[in-house]
Amino acid sequence: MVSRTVEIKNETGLHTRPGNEFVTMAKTFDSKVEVENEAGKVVKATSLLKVLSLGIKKGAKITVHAEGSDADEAVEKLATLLSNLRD
Amino acid sequence: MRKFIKGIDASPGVAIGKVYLHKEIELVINTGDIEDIEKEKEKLITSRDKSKEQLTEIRKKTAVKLGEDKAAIFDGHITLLEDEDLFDEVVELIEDEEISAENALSRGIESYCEMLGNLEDEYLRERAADLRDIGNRWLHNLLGHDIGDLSSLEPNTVIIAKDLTPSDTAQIDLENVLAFVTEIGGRTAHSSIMARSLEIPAVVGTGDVCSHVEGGETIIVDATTGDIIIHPYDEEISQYEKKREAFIAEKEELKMLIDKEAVSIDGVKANMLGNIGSPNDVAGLQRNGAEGIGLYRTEFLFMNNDRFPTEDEQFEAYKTVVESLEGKPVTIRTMDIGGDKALSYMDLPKEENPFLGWRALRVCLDRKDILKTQFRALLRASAFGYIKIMLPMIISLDEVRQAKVILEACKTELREEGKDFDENIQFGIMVETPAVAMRAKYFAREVDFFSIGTNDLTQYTLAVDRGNENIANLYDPFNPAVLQAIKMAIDGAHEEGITISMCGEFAGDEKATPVLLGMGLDAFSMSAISIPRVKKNIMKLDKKECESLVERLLDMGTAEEIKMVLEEFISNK
Repeated sequence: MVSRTVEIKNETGLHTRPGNEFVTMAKTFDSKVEVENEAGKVVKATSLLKVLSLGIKKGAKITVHAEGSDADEAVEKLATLLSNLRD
Repeated sequence: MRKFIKGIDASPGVAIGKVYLHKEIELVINTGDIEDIEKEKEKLITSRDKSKEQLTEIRKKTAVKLGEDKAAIFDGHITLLEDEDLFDEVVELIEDEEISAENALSRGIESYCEMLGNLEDEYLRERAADLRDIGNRWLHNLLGHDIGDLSSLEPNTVIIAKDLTPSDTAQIDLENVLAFVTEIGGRTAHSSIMARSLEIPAVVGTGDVCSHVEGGETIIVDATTGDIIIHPYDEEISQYEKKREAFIAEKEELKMLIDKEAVSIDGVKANMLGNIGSPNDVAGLQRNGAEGIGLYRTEFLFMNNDRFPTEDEQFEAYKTVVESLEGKPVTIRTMDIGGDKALSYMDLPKEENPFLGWRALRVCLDRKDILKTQFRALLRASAFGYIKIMLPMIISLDEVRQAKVILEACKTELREEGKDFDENIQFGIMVETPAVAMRAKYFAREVDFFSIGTNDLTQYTLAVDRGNENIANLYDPFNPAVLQAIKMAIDGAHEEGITISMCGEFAGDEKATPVLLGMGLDAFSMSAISIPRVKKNIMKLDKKECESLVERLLDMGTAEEIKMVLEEFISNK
């Protein structure tokens, strides 16, 4: 399994629009992708509702986990997206 | 049966058309047992697909009307609609408990809404509203309700609704809509603002209009007065047809004036400026020929938010506005919170007299960080156009000097950081208290310009709360004391050689035009829609004549006498 932790820097956090970008990208990989918040709650990265339910706001550190053939690429791309969210 | 209804005129115009009733249908959920699980699952899928089609269509229209940025939010809505976890859980509920698709779906949506509603962050918590909106659409489609498609209307339609939401107005078929009428809302409701910016006649606050129509009725909407007639008499139709033509003819005539300057018969020019609340209002100003912005109210940046806007966010908003004005002046007023404007994220104390309390600049001078952030953003934006900074609610020179010290400190910081700004940025104040009006020339010596805010100046001069209905008849800017205060401010400004404009409601009041021109006001600032008419009036006036009129008026005893003389003066023009 490949994992990476990033910090959320945009003001409004992972709300509907940036959340959608994230989930849409997560769906393009064959690997099973999950996100974990600081409290240790883990959800599927392909469900926007579940991702929103993590309540990810500015300053939160979240971890992307991926397992599968394209796990490296998935973590790389998703982590980059998360660290460059715009409001 | 002919029916007359009175409402609030929210966006001017006259229309005669056929009613389209935009209904709100109640969701009735079958909570009993079901017969066929597969059939329920199929209904769930078909209604989801239908909802997706509708949202895709709304997204497309929003992109055309409001831009790609606003449309992107609907991509998020579609992703929520297609959420695999939500879908799996709803299907599981149908299978395990043998309940109807709508019952399972409404429970599924509710449980996610609750989960989002429990989040700590207010902004994320509000996403529950997005989900509920999507859930409602899905449920209506599931129950086979006609959601009401505002995007493809018959020609000559008048929309009647209890209320119109932002997603309703975004999809209105502008080709075929003549007017709209809603039961709730006032002039500042979302739907009213939308109507004005789209220049569609609208009447709001009509109470129970929906219960008088079914759809298809002939209706007259006179949004110049707020009158509505359902099933009008034939002679009324021809009478209002004439009124409609006259309205359009006047609008055309006013359009011809857009590129003309407001110059009086004897050659005195007044600047015609606009008031705005957000960058979205700039388009309306340009359509109506504004020569700049006399008041940009920044509080909406603060109010439509769940925290103080950052320097960068403010900078972007100001920059957008100054760039689109292409070198024309943009007067930006610093945060005017308190009084009747609250902030959800700032603990403003409950006060006995909020209008006499901790508001506007008084807050900013106590919380200097707020003012500093705003000054820095304004200064940085001044590198991209012509910005004038304006302070509200001044009563003493101390306040002006304190604010200046902060502004100078911000300039020094920016210089050190190597960031560009307008070194000669103009710094002015609002005249909205008798304290400034009475001592105008002393203030004029220390600032670059004045702008009169008549709403507050009237309230403070007359000691009349402008929100109190019991004394609404006392609130009158034509009271000679208010006119005197305006005159003092104008004279004080001119004595010290600075310019003075007016950005309150009074500037757009046609009856006030000869008074203000006669007093020598340099610039009139008002909502975009009022500019052409006031300009037309100025072009018919003679400034010399208005000067002697002012002398006569200030010699009168009451507002009633003043208004009578003014009406006569105007009717002779």
